[in-house]
Amino acid sequence: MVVALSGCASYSSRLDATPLAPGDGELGFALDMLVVERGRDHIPLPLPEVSYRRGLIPGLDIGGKAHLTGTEASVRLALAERGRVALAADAGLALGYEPVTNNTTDLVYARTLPRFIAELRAHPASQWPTWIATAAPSLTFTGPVTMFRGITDAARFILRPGAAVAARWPLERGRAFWLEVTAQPAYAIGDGWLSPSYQGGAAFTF
Amino acid sequence: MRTMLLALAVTWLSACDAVEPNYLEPDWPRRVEDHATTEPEPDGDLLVVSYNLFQGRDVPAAIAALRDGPLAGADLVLMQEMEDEGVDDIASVLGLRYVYYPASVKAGRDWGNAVLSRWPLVEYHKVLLPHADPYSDSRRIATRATVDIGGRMLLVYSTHIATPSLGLGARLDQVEAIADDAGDELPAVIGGDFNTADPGSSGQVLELLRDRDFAWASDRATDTGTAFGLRDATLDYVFARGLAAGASGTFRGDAGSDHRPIWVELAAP
Repeated sequence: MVVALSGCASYSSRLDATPLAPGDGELGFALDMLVVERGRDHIPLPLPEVSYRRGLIPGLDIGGKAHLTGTEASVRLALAERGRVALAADAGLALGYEPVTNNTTDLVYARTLPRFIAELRAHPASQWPTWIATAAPSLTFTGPVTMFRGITDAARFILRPGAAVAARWPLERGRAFWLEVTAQPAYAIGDGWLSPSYQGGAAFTF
Repeated sequence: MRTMLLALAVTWLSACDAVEPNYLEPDWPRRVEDHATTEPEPDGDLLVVSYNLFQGRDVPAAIAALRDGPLAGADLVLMQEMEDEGVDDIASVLGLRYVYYPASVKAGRDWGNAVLSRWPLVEYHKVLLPHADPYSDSRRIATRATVDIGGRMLLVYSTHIATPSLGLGARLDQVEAIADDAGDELPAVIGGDFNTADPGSSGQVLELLRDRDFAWASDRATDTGTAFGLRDATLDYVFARGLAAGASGTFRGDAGSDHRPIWVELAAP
């Protein structure tokens, strides 16, 4: 049932600019709504996701996430920190399969994911959450399943100048609650603009 | 829910299929024959049948269905999933003219659409529809014929839109390609298997063609097949522009197919 209902591609980021300390681990569960074009309308699809990260060395961690038809791995690196503001970069690769698309044949994909993350940490005395803004452009190589049989004329590259905004509320014992929304315009090189996708939802990390 | 699970399984299994060769030439191959023995007299009404005969296999069942009951005496028979031999057998028994174009080769057999007519065919061509299937690379077509109904011209299309393994937006592009080909000058009939098995697809097809002035003439011909074998669904349609629609219905007898043929009465142009 979950497989049948789930969205088939994920554009979430849900990373702040503070890599985990060496040896620390963080597990996350998210439920998003993915809004995609279907026919001449847009429809929402539920998209459950699980994630895990682990700190390797100070200022650097690795991790990944998986939804039901795709997975992603990335390395996050702290860049700068001043007062309540922190900056980080994240480099990732996503692989996945979409059983059905809308008016394309982009069923299988490999997506590079450079992310640039800015974090405004909550003041310890305030009730405000930590705010995170992420520039999440991506370049995707995609095409029909027939690519595997040498029919590559429908394969192509898609640029997505995406961005995300998230808020994270700290909870007891190192847990956190996240809300995030992302917009993903899409430009198919050689074919022009495609309909944008949107994703938003909530997550718990611990 | 089960429908979507099965659809997912079907698409995975489809990925294992062999690539299906397409006939991409603009107007070839084609078969046109005339088995008519008498010239029809205009009587004011046209009986139009749309019939997807599963892989064109059970031709005797199709002939039997078209000779008796509500399908008998059809002026126009729009057939899908056919080989040329099957079309010719049906046309010769029923005394019809026809034009047939195959779209691709499926399981070693030609697989295409035909327009069979009691009335003279004065023009015909193949409409190559956009978007290849992402699993099999197969392309879809519409077979178009201009039919002379007692001196009035009628455009007739027999089509088979892609299955839901191709996204709904792409399938709507295919429907739109036929509407574009029809222009806006002559009365027209578009019939065939639109593969609207997935939720919401039927409504969007109807809306697209309504916006192009095509009415759903076969609106009482429902439950013509199944959605992935799980529930009855309306997959086959006849749309008409510039022709008043009368009665319509679904043939419930033995059709030798996984689709039930549909019929509709139209006022002659």
